[in-house]
Amino acid sequence: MKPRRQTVIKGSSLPVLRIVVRDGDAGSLPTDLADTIEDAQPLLSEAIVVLDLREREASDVDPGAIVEVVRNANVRLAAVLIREPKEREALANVGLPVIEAPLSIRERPRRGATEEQVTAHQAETAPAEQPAEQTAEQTSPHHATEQPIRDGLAPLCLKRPLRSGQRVYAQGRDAVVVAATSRGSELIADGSIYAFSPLRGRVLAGASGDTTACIVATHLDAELVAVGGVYRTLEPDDLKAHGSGPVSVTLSLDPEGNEKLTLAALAPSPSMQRK
Amino acid sequence: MTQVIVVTSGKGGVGKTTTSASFASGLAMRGKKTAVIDFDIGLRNLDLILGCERRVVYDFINVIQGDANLSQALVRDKRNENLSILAASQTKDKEALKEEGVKTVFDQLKDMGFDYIVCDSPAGIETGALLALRFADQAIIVTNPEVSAVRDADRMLGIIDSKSLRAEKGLEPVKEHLVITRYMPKRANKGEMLGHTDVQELLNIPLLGVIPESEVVLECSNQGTPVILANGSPAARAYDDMVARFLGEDRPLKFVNGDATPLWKRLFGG
Repeated sequence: MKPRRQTVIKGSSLPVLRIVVRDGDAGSLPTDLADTIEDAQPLLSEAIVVLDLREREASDVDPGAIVEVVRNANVRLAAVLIREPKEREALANVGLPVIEAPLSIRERPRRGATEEQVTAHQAETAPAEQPAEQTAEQTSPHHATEQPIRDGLAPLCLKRPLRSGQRVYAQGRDAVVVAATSRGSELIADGSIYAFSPLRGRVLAGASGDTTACIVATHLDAELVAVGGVYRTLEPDDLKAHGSGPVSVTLSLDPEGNEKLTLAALAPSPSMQRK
Repeated sequence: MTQVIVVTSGKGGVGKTTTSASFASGLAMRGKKTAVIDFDIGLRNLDLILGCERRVVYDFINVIQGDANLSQALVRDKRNENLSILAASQTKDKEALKEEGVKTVFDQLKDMGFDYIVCDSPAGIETGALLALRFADQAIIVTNPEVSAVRDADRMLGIIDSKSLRAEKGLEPVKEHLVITRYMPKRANKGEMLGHTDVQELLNIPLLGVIPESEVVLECSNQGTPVILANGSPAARAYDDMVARFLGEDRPLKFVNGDATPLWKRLFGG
């Protein structure tokens, strides 16, 4: 038998902080950045930080200069994130790994929110930009399935019961449920969730902020449902109001423009109504 | 092939030890060479329930630590020579229970030709409970018709799905069976208690038996007799059915309907 190797290469998804630099007035950027870092100093002094330049459109500030400001602020900077390969050149001499990564849905600035946030430069934890109602731990990367986010990924099919205390995360895809989920379990999907067996426990669709995701269930008995980070706990009365048939959960805007979770019984087909 | 069966529940006081004792005795009565092991280190009870507490010289931990060999520690049941008991240690720290040691004991039991190893799990989800289910081929989940017991049972099923050796190695999953104890048909029918169909729907595993609530259980515990030997009592018959179903017999569920058995049926057998 071959001796067991002492070293092994494994994938990981570590929590790091990102300093996100957004578009804004080039002149005030250094002071703004310095202020942001100073405000977050207790948080930043212990942490490993990456500089995220992917949300910038304008290129009137030299990325190298931004890196300098961060470095001077006594931050343990590990890498720089960029969106376009052409930005690599400008960072060739900073002596840091430059990582090219597209913005995932989760990280994209939310529509309508950009205007008031253009001048802000925030330090965020890795699974950042969580809508306020959702706790970070529910979608932290530790629960990710093996696959990285890819387009056109087949839905995750849940064929064995999801038990109390168990959690499944359909990262970057939909989930299809054909075995019951139990109270105390958590089913999370970046896409939509379609359930053909009882859904109990917590059920979160659009976990990365996709507000168009939905939950469709033949037997909804969940304790909590969420779409795009907006959640709602369900009492037995809420569920009774929609009968025992199939139910959809979607996110819609109420007249005041607030996001609201809507539970609706799926309308029976006309042929069934006649009977 | 020796089959390892864990009797577990998550929640305490639902009847794991009572069920382990009756189940193991039932298997032995049907001619199966059976060993029943108490995994509740520090809080041993199985020896009392089986009435052999005075004959325990060496225990599970003694064997694991090499102070005694397995044949010295196994206590042969007085009523049935097919049944052997390995008691838990009352004095040793539960940290003494190690996976390696458990595996060695199981391997020896297999070499000794046992058909079944029944592991009586402690409550909770700590080392003792995890080691009891670690090597299991089959699991008997004991629960009461009550929401907290059902939730804990569900949690336990999840743990079996992830922490058993079969799950870790990607082998065929542990075969799971449900046993509902302390069942009161009348109260279930009135909706004061979960019905056995509700419990089964929530847990989604095959039902092996429903054991009715019975005064006999307490008497048997105090006398050190497994309930299955309390001739004629509903609980004993329910345990007997459970063992029969486990061995592949098809028996209808009894004691789940509230109505009393008619007198003529009780007299002439139903």
